[in-house]
Amino acid sequence: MRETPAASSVGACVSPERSPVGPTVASRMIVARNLTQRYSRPSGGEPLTVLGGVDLEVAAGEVVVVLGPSGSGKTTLLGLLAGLDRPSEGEVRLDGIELAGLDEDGRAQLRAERVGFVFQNFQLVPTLTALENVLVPLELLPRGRAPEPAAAEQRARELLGRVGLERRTDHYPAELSGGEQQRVGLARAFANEPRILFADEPTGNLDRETGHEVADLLFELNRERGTTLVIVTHDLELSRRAGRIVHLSAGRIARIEQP
Amino acid sequence: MSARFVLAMARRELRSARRRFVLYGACMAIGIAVVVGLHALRATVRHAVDLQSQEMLGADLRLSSRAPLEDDVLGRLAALEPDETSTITRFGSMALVERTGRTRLVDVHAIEGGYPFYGAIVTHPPERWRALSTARREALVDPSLLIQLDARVGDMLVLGETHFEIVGEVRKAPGSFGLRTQVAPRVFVAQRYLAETGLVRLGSLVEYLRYLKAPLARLAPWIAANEQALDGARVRLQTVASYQEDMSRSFSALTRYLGLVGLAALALGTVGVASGVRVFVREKFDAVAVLRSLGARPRDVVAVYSLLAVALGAAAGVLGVLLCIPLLWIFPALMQDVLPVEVALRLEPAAVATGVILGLGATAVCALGPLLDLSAVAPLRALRRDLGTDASTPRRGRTLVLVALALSGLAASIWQAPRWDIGLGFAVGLAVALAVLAGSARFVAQALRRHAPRRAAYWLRQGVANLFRPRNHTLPTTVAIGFALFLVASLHTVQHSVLSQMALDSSGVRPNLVLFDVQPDQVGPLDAFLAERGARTLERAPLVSARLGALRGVPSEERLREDDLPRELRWALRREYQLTYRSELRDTETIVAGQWWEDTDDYAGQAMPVSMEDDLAHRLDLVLGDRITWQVQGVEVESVVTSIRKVDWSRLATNFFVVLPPAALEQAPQSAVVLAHLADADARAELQRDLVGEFPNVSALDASVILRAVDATMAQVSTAIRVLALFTLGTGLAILLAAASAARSERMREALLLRVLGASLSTVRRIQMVEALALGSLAAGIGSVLSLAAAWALVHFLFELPFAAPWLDLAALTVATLAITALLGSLGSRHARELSPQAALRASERFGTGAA
Repeated sequence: MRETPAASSVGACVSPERSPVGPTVASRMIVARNLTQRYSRPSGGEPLTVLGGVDLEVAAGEVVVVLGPSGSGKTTLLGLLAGLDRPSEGEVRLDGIELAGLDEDGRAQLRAERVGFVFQNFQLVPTLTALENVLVPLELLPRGRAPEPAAAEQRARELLGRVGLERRTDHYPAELSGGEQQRVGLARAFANEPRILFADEPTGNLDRETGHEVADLLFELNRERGTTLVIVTHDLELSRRAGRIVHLSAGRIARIEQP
Repeated sequence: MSARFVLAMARRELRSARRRFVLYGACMAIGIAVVVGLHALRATVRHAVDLQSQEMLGADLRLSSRAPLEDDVLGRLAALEPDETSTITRFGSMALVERTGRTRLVDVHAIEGGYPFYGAIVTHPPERWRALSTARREALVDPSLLIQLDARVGDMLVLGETHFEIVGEVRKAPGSFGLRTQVAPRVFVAQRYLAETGLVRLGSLVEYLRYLKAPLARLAPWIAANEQALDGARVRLQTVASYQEDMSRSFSALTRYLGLVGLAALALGTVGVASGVRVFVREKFDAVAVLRSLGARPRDVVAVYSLLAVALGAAAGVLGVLLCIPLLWIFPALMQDVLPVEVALRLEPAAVATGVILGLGATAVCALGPLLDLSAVAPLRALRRDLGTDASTPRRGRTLVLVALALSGLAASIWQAPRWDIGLGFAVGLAVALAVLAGSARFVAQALRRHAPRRAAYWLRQGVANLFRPRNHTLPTTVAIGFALFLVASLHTVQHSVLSQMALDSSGVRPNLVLFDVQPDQVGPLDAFLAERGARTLERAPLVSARLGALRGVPSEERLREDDLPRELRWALRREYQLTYRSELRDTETIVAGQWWEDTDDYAGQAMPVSMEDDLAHRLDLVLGDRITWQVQGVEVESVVTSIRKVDWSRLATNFFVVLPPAALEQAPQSAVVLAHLADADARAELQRDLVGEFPNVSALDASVILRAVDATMAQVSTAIRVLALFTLGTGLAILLAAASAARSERMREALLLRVLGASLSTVRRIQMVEALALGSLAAGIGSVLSLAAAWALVHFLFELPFAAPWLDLAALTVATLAITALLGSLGSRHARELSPQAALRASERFGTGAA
């Protein structure tokens, strides 16, 4: 395993042309600069800094794992990179688009068109069947890009078949096991052919064996579709399959390594 | 916005939540059904009145007067050259059936001419009406008279000094509806025999009616030219149009009052649904956060759930319209005595539209706040639920929602109420009642939290604790059930108090026999007649008919010519007054201003003192010292207001609006009213029978008849209100089920967890039963206490009667409410008991999402 020492105490060193922590300008899928997130405390006093001045770049097609203990700011970083939240300071550029320049609807559209998610607790909509859950991202695509209903359903069925659930399409989440639910989650994440996929502890709620299967599927789908993948985890085994590992500690990048 | 996404999501959500939505829909539909049903009834009656008004009036024009028409008026009528004319002389009198010896006060209609010119009078045996004008002394009577006097066709009916043969009963006559005939059934005779009855004398209370048939082209200009002169002569005109308006207005007011009860049910349903929707929406936060993270915009989410709200509202509206169909059968049956026309009920498109609009409006009220919450769900919540991702609606949004709620409630009340101020009062009253119920429920729940039984058995502690634990449904259930009970119980208590007072009045040595139209020369002989039969004369009051000639020196005619004269004042200036005179104040009267006269000799040659009742004084804007000129059958009597009295009208006594000293009216033409007491009912009946023979012109009214009539009248209206209140109770129960369903997922999880941890089935059952019983007790307790308070206030301040609570009825009502609440509450959570502990994890997930 080759280690790249952190260039500064606040995080990875960023070079305009070629950075040890990121790709060339032309192929950058994610660029985060001085990303800081603070939350005010309900009890008053100094705000709590969850993330402090993180710089990070991720190349198109790259697989990056963010590793760190609980409370290190992994999920916060993921939320900010995906445009789910606005940073207190700093900026994020996703697939060439500056997130700060987008309003709530703009960011929603960006997610609908270019971003996929896999969640630790699967986050399937409980009132929808497996097939309907996979259909949602396709239905959210703007007119012109959204496939026809029949084509959308065929695509959703294909994806469910790809994750081995072709016989469970009409089942509700409550009727599926944890592993099956996460497979539906994977199929949903790839439904809109995202350019970037964010995965938050994708195996965190699964046993070791099921976790393996889900991880295999995740990486296989990623390879097939050439998606950029950012995974937040504390699963070391999963992290070994990444192109780069970003170690986060106390809201800062401690080091970056390439397995 | 992706319409496809919105439609697909709404459809899926609807599918998964259909059971809850049916319950929510039912909560609102009951209130909608009542409001729409009454609207439909009102529209149908209006339509029927429009079509039948000519038949109901029986003529194109009716003139009515308290005195025979003067020559001037008759001259004006001749100028109209009517196609036909008919007259009816109408007055109250005693009627005796010779064969049975039974007597009763009746409403005599002495007819001359071809009335009615439109429509037909249906008699049994048929075709008897026209035979009245033949040369025989025959009478047609209301069917109720035959029943009350145990008479039959062919019996002889004695009216004054004349015998009439009852030749049939009147089944249907223009403009007649039952309530009027409760106290005095009608007797129709030919006018040519009126004089020989000897019943109409100077000072008798008689209404002279004249019916005319004339084409509108001639009638309209004649009315325009003569209206003022007729008004001056105190002749009241009634055209087909004005009759139509009067009928529609009075019935409309009644249905609008009843509709307020429906609106209360709808408001209640809305409160219940709002709390259910809040729970539903709270459960959706996670799913919404996921949708947001997948690219749904806030407006997409709002669109999905708005569409659901629209579907719920429309469904509630349609369900309400469907539910109102049976009401359309029930209402006319309940209100048959107050319906002015025969109606064939039908559901107009406008009524359906009203239902749907009400449903949508009520749902909008329920959904506004939750939709604001949903729009504020952050997508980050999909990743973490701990950091500031809970939906918190901006304060401005909340304020807007509250203002919208208040305004929509107010608008609905004003739209429904007969008058805007009643609507406003209703809205405020409803808000206060709901606030008191909610406040009481919250207070009791907090008190329970503080003083919960800590050493009791686990199931008892747990069951009671369910009332105040997070996400409890104590508030909506208590408010809904408590409000329904409050409505039913307070109505019943008020009715009981009023009837108790009347029953009291008809017992003891209070008067139970009223004799009126006693002529001055009959006073002495009548006293002797009463004494002979063991009756005690308790009060005697002379009656002098008079009109208000001038007020503060301004002649009434002059005031009546003012176009903008308030309706009440116009009535007060035009009406005929029954004045009395006496030296002393009665115990039902209290002087509130000025003082009672001591010695009226001082007034010789001056204006006489007059004592006015306080409401009338207020209506006429009178103060002490104001001068009033009375026209007593052609003689002017000057008076000056020296006192204003408060009168207890609830007591059966000789109460009068206007009292003068004897010196003012002793010489005027007069009759007397006598109040007497005779304990034995049979003796009273005998006395009345003999009275007809000895004093044919004197009418008697048995207090027990009044009591029965008032009871019947109150029963008519109160049954209608009670049926509506039952609908409110139905709403309350639907809310209870909806609330239990909303809390079901949590109760389910708890019950299963308890069972996994080793609780027996009976423990779980006991916990749920304690919760249901505690909830029922709370709702029934608060509802009944509030109803007692409200009924006391109504009885004390509005009816000014002593309060009498029907304790046994109230206890039965409270226990029934408690039992139903407990039963439904227990049924609502039965699933939790039926599932096996093995199903715990899966079921908790499934029920947590409502996908089952």
